Amino acid sequence: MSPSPSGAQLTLHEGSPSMPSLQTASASRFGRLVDVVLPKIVVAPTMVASLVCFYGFVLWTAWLSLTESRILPKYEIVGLVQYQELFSNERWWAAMKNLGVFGGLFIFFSLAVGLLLAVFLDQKIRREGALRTIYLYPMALSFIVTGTAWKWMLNPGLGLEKLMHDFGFSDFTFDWIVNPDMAIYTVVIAGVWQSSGFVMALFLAGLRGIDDAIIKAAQVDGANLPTIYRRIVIPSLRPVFFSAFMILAHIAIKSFDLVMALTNAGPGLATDLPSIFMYQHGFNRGQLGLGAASAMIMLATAAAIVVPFLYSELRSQRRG
Amino acid sequence: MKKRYFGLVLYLVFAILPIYWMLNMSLKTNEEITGVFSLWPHQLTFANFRTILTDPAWYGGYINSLIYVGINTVLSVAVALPAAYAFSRYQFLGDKHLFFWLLTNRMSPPAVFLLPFFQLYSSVGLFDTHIAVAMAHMLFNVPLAVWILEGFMSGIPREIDETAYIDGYSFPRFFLRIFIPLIGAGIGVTAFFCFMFSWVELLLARTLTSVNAKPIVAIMTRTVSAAGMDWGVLAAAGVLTIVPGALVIWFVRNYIAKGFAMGRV
Repeated sequence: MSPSPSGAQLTLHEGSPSMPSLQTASASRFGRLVDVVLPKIVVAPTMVASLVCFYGFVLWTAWLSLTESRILPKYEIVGLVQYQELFSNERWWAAMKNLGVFGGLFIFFSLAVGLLLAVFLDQKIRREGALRTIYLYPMALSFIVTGTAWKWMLNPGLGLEKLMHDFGFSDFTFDWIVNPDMAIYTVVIAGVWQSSGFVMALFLAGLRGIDDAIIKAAQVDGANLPTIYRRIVIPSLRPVFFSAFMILAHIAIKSFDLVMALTNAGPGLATDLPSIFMYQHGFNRGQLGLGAASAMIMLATAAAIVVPFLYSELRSQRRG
Repeated sequence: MKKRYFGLVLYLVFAILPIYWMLNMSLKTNEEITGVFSLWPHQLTFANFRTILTDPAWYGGYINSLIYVGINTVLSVAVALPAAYAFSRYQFLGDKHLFFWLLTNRMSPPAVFLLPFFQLYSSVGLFDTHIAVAMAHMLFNVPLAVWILEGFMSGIPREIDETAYIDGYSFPRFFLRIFIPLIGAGIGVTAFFCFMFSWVELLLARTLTSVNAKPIVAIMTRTVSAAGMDWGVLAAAGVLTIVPGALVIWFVRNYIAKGFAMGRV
């Protein structure tokens, strides 16, 4: 995945000098000064700001999670009371289970659909540009819009079920969105709809980066197309799988707006997710401490997924 | 060959259907929406769009969103440009670690920052202002912007910098006159992703505002939960929120693929 310097070389020669000038000496001294001091000066403010905001805010939340804050924040530490309460809260465990179901299916189907679309699009077909743009555009939508649009499509009285009834298939039922057992799967459908085009773009870029010569050589050796894909193409897409997985996992853990618009965590609390739990306890129910505790657990979950992946990927990059 | 096209076309329908459904609804009256289904509006009406464009409660949301998204995009790119330049051109102690650490920042759930932002803004009187939301989003956008821009900048050969110094360009002049035009595409892609993140983000934007800076997506959810569904107006609002994103995609459509190719997006 090395950045390609495409197009940059063209402009290189336009500005090059015809002969070295007298300014060389001062320029190089200037350059040396710049080399030493400038990067630190330039990077420092951004880094300090990020550092303070990031760790400061994480610590702030951690602190709040150790207090008995209710509607207003209190800052006397009382220990792990909020975490105990959180872990004995059934709604929290239901939300975590939903996150597991949603996250697992969402990541799996987004990857599968995205990869399939990318492989199909990579067969030098006509109108590839137009198809690619259309597949990609759901990414530019707000999850709120996605959720609202799917809510209407899946609504039994308004959407697909009504359409089939109007066509005369009166036995047709598709009521997942109002069925507590199935509602979480509607969130998966809408999520996959929104994200698989994006995953496709990632995979397509990866596919285009594979050297044609390797595939030609395999063809000469008599490998058929499925074998080529299984043995050569898919393994060389490993870094893309990695980044796609990271991005999708991140979307799944933080997802809030999609569920708010699609099911509003209902029916009942059938599609409750940790971020909704956090929002409602922190802001609507006056349980600031409990909300902070749930936010910390969310952060820990995200870290548990992201850090090992990032670490192993960094190590393999250094070796390779 | 046929089978392959079948799959692609099937997905095409799947991709377009929800948006077509919404566009269709936005051009119908409420009676027609709840009446017999039709593939296109029989009584074409623009009343829903007119409601949104004349009612301050609705169009105010768009203006609020555009203001804080604009502030956030400009500031994120402006802050990220020098930092990305430093990462791409210089080696300094811990630069690799800092770089990846910046990215892990972005992967943390916004919920963790919600309570501190809320408390902080409430205490300094920034609550419910555009700049408050813009700054909250910058915490996520600046790392992304540095990451994307660094990729584009590393694609520009270092010789260009040196040549410019030899020609007697001062650093600021070189940066503004030569370097920025060279990475124009990168700035476009970066601005696009900052724009999109901020435009679609709901959790922070909704919590940190109440009236004056309330974004359109929050107004949409509020209306969803209110009694009495005005389907047509809501659909029209949804259609209108697609417009800015679609416009921005149109402007950077030729560069996005390049961003993807670098694995930076």
